[in-house]
Amino acid sequence: MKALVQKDFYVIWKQMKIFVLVLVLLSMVNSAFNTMFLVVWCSMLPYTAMAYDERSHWNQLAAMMPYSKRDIVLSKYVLGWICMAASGVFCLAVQAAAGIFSGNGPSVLTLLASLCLGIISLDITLPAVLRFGVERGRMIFMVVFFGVAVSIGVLVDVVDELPSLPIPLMALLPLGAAAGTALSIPLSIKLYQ
Amino acid sequence: MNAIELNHIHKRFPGFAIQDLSLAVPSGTICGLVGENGAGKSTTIRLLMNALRPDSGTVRVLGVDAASPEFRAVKEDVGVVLDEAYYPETLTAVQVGKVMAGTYRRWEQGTYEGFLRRFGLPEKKPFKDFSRGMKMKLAIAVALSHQPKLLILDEATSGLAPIVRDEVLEIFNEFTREEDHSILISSHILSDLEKLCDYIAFLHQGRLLFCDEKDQLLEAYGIFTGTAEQLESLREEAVMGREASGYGGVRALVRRDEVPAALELERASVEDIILFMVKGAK
Repeated sequence: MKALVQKDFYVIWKQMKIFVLVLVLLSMVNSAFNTMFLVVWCSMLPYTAMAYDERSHWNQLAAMMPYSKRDIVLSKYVLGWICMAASGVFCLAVQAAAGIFSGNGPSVLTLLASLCLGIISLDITLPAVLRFGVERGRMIFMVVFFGVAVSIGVLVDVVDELPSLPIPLMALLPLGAAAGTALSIPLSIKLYQ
Repeated sequence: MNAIELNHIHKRFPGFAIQDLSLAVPSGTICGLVGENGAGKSTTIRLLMNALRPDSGTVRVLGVDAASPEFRAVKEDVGVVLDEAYYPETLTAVQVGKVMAGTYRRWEQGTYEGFLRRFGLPEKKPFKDFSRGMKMKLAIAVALSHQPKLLILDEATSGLAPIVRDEVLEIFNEFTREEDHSILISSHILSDLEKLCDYIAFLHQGRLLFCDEKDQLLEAYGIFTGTAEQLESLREEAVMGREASGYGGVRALVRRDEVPAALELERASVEDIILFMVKGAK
């Protein structure tokens, strides 16, 4: 599976250069929306790699190699997780550095909520994209992305008042991400052709 | 032992079906898989590598059932080149090598780099800027760099310049000098198959019309050239296919054992045999 993740990183590397630039610019503005936007955007990077795979019919070639179906599916999740985690850490570092001058420290809670949302959006969209391909799965993706965008809008309001929220409500997001992943991976393996 | 065994395979798709396909490729031999576009060659290759499950029948590769969990390990021993399925286009040859090093346990980086040099492939150029011939050469380099025992090649020589094609055919010949090394190759270039193969298997509309030793095949058939009346005088079973030749004459592929020994026949090439049989089948 490591080789498959490595291949995907090579594939998206060019895209990453533009991405890192946007990441730097947006990270410097310390807002909950920017953090969430960046992390959820990162959760889409596996689809960029999959679009390149489809164009070259890589999946047909991969089916001839000693990869299991599980490895192929799992590599897309791992790619999404690594990209989200990397952008989250980067955001945190840039915001911490900017905070030295502005006095506003980074919000770890916002970042954790963003990571959970990114994972949930990946959990919902990946099975459909793996089954129907990037082009047809894009429709499903748009619907989910719209849902996530609305959730971000709602959560931004909620996050601003986090200290007064009861802890179980915040615990719902990691629980949702964990349960979503536990359901999504076996479903993706079943749906992947 | 057979390197490849397909036993009574059936696989149905909308508008096309593989029907009762049985094929055996003995270990240490080269088998050419011939057929028109859509005859089922690529489907057969996908069935062989368990990328497709048959509706019924069994597939064994290097002695292991393709449907068994052990088959994943067998894929380490099989080098595959596919027509129209490549590495993602932003990858370079060096990156492909690094990915394959993590894919195959017996990956030989030195062998791979040797093939890159031998084929004159650029190391840092993205795959999307490769010509079709270069893409095929890279795929062949990968297929030969992880100590395979079996090569499955789908149109691997198409797009290559004649001189390079000859070099690649020589590499395939060298590969089968090891007695447990085998090749299944599909190609539209029948002259390549005639040079290379020990066996020829002919697929037509999802059915295997024959799988014979090439030398036996060339001995069994001949080309008749004469008048329509002369051809009509032969037994119906003797004529496998016919075509009009110039000046009102006919050319026909005939079975040597079904015509009088005195009848003068030209030597039939594999290409003649296949082309006449396709026409005969239509």
